[in-house]
Amino acid sequence: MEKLIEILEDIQPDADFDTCETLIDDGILDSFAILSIVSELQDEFGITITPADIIPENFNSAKALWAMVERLQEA
Amino acid sequence: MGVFKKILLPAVLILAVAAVNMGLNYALIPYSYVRIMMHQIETQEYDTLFLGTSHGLNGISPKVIEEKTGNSAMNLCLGGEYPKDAYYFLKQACKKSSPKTVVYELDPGYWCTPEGQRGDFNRIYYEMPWSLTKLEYFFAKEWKLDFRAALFPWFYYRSQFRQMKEILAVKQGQEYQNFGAGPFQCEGQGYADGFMQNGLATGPKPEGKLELWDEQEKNEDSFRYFEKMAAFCEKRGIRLVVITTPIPSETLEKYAEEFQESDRFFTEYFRGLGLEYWNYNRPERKIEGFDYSLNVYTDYEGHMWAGQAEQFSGQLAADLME
Amino acid sequence: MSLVSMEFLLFVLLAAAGYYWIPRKFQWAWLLAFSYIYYISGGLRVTCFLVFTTLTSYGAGILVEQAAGRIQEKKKAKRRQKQVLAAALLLNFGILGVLKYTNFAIHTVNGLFGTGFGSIGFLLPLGISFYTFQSMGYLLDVYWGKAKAEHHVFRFALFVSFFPQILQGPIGRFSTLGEQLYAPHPFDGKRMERGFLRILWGYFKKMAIADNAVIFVDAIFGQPEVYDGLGLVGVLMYSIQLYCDFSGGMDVVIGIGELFGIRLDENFKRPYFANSITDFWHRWHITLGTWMKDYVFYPVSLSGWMKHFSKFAKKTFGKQAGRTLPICLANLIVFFVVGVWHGAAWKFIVYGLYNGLIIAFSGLMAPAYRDWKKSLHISDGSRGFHLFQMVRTFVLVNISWFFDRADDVPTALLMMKNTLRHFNLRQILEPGIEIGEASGTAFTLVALGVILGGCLLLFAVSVLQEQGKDLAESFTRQHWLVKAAVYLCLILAVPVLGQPSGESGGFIYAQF
Repeated sequence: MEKLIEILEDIQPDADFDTCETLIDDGILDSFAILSIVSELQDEFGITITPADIIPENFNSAKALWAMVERLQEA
Repeated sequence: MGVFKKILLPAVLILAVAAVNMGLNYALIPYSYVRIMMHQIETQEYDTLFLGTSHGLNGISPKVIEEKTGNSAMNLCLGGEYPKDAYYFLKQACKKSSPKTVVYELDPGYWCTPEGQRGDFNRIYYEMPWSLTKLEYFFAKEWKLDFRAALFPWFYYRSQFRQMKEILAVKQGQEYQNFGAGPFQCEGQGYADGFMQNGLATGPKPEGKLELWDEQEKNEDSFRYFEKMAAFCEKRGIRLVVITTPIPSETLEKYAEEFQESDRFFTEYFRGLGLEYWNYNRPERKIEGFDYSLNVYTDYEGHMWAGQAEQFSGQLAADLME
Repeated sequence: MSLVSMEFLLFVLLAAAGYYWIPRKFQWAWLLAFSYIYYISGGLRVTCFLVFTTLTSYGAGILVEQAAGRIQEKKKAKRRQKQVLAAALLLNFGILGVLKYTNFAIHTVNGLFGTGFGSIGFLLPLGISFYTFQSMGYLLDVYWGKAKAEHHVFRFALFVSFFPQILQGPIGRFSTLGEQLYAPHPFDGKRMERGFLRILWGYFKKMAIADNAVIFVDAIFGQPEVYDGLGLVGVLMYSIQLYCDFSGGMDVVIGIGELFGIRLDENFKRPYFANSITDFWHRWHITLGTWMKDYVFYPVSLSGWMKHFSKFAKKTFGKQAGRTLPICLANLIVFFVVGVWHGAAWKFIVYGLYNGLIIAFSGLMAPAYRDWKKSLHISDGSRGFHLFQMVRTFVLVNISWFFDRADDVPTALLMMKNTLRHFNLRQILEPGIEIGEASGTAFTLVALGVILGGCLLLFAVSVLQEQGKDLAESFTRQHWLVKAAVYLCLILAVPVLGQPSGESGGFIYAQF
């Protein structure tokens, strides 16, 4: 989880990833940021993210992102 | 409250729009001789009716026709009258009259251009009194048009607001009330004896853009409604004749190919429908002693001056009696 | 059926009246019947294309869903799904491509090799790109498990053909639109009123503003060598025309949706207030943008070969740039597609790539911008900076409009050059610009005044909406006399201020 926050802060330094739960709904992450995150997550955790995973529910908060990473690692 | 209050807003709105509409129609749409025509066909019976375009309006004197043939005649030709309009105009006229002959004056340009949305294009519809014929006309003409054409007839006349005073003065005058033609008399032109009389113009004639026959651009509606008109006449035992008025020889020479092609095409087309087509520009139909030179026409397109029109009408009457 | 025709007005009136008169469980079927009447009135033969797309995406949706359930082995199931999906996509986009781009291809080949192949006169089904996008989006959603396949063929047919939106969008999503279309809708007076207001507002934008602006646009872009001092006026008029024409049409469409109790997706959110080109595309033709994002941008970015490219880029250019470059490439692909979608011509490709390049560039430069702003002590929240961003974006957007509207790329470039070199506002009063049935300086001034007034009103409304105010809501709460007065003004403005909407009553986006 710390690693994840680190990645997020590297990509979007001005967002508050610890508490924010509306990263997508409030437009804090745009599609460029989303794909940057996806790219880093794939490299870092060895997972494969497909277009089907790119839904607001998976990207709205750091917690949700982490849940997605764990789910994909199991698969 | 309930229902009453719910209906209040739409009802008030509809009434207000209707009131404004009536006011603007009255103030912006100038008096037109179409109103006279509409009144005439509603109150009088005619044996011979003329339908067609501005060439017919300027070139056919119903008075001369009446004198020569002894039959009552009415000229319902108008600039901007497509076969579609002519068909419904005829239907309206036949409510009162049982004509023996209908003459359709053909300008090939109306058969190969789309109906525009300018000036008086909607006038026949506007002046026609409410009836089933008008409803049918509505579906034929207004249905596909911009909704403002039918809902706000004054829309196409809104640039007339500068002339509002004159328009109102005319409409409040005696002539308007009595369907008189007084307001249409102006220098060089006037509506009298049932047709538009042009004065003899001297000097150079305007050429403008001529709408010549082009088979590629056929307006299918024109053909469709003409055929309806032909069927209508056949059903009622009315003789339908198609004519093309004489045009200046200068124009005829300049666009010889187009005019010959048009004559060939329409002769064949009308023969197919079993109709007579008298094109007064054909060598064998040339009128004896008639001046075909541009000098006596108002323009290259071939709008005649009144004297010529009377001469031409004499020939037309003779041909009709044959 | 044009949105401004008498028949359309009466058609909608009849559809809406009957909708609340029949039993509610038949409402969706009523809409389907009207949607097909609408489509067939545009030609029976082209309706075959619509039916084809409906049936293939309906069938493919079910097959994809069944493959997951019936085939035990996961890999095999996935492969089967992929085959079905690929076949359906290929067929439908194939039709779209052939109908829209064959002549462009022929033209290009002729130009390159001096051959003389003739153009082919295809029938172009109404709204083909809108309904194709909408149904292919559905299919991809089913494939990705984001939506359940629809098993009722007629209900699905309604989703593809829903008449208000089929001609020029918005492109709907099955997840939000489907359910609404099938649900029963009781009569809601307030909603009807909102719908009615929205429709009037749309007609106002289209007829009073866009149709006046188009006179200047057509004159200036039609004869750029004559009006060489008016390039700036021309492009500003075009930005007014395009926005009011397209978003006005959307207002009418969305307003009609409201009459049936159906909320269609918004397609515009005050695009000229955007603070970047990216933001602009989040506000302009939104449903096309999100469609491209979800169904082109993400899949391309996440595809296998993009991953390889990403690895390669990271090794070669370092972590930061290596991460962003593939995204930029995918973005360029998207905007290439957007450009081509706008029309089969090189100028549209330039238009698309221009947008794509700006967005890619700002994506690459984002970290640098952050540092600059920090060192210059500019805060994103400051008003001045925000205004600067808006103006900059507006200028960039207007540059793209030159490509969009001018006859070809060289003309666009020439007009831009002229705009910078000489500016001669007086040309606007020269005779030759025809205003409706009359031409002349007096009418030019009237038309200019109407455009200016209309834009001021539009601007005021936009500012309030940008602040989050629901103007329609506060309007419905007004005294009925106030409402009547506003309605009356809007209704009369359409014929008083408006120009005839061309012989065909056309909207720009109704030809896609």
